[in-house]
Amino acid sequence: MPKYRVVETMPAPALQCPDCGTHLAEPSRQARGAWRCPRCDCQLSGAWSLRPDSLLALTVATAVLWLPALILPLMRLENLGLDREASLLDCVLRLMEGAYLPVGLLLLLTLVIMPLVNLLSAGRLLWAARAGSGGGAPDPLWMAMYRHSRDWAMTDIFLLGILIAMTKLGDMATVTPGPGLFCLVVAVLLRLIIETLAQPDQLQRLLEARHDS
Amino acid sequence: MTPNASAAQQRTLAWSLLLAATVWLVPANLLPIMAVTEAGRGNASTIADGIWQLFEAGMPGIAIIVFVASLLVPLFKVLVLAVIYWRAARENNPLLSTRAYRLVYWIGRWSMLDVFVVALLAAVVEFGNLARVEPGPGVLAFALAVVLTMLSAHAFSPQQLWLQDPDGADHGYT
Repeated sequence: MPKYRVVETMPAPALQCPDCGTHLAEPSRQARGAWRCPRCDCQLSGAWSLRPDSLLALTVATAVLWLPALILPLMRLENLGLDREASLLDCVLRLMEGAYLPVGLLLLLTLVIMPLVNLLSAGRLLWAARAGSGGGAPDPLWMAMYRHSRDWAMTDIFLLGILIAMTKLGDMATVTPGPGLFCLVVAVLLRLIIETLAQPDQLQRLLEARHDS
Repeated sequence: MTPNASAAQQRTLAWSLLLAATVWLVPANLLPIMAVTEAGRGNASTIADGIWQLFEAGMPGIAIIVFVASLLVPLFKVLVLAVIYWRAARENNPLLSTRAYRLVYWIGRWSMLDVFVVALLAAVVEFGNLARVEPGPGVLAFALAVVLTMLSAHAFSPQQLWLQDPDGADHGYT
């Protein structure tokens, strides 16, 4: 069924290192600590075992926070009796005006679309990796989307950007953090936990083990 | 990353994207990335100006973060990638190059920091004639440079660094 996987003829070397192509035997399940390729030091699996059920729960929690993080105001600025609020979506829309459209589209991609793709693909793959899940193996496209979205979703960097913007504005007006900021911080923390625990290669092997047998 | 492309084809694509990124880095650093208008007086600032303002405002920690993310990292990344691509054809220390590649791949995203700061300031500081922040043309060039360097790193796969290695393995390349 999984047409993307060429089944190895020799049984012993279980997989190939994605970075240097070395054939490696999978270590025993009792082994602790991160597993790295002995030749190129590529991390092949994290230090923790992958538990799809708990990670799926975290993914759902992130999804709940995602919309409020996007539309609720991140911060509120008060200056000479005037006040103004801006949400993440406002920042993206502000740069979509006029000549800065390419930058606006880039922000839309890195702050809105890619985090959403990351959520959906992580959810789909983790759902398929659960012990009792029925149905066939997920389309390999989901794994490709998951790998790409890990690189292009940049909400973690945006958080540092908020910190810098707030300090820059500090001397010119009164800045108060808004509810959107709280949702964004929690959503980013949850995403970082999911991404650290669900390494793509590790998840891929788990999926193959579930659906090949 | 297309797995079927030959190593040389991959390098050509990676080189051209890197070259385009280098070209865009020049206007990115010379043109103002934003303009602050306060009480009718306009004040455009480049990336370097913004860092200096943070220093003068007594925030050296944040100034150093911005300096590293938006000035050092883009330059460092272009240089390191150029060295890796240059050496790839006759690689004699694949482990070192692979480690450098992974480092550069990981830190590259952080250069987007300045673009996000400009977007935030432009969205939140809008008080009509009293004070407003407008994005400057530099931010366009800077965003392009960052994306092009990221795409260049993605176009190159570290597998080809191991082709010349004596204890070779099957890579699927011809």
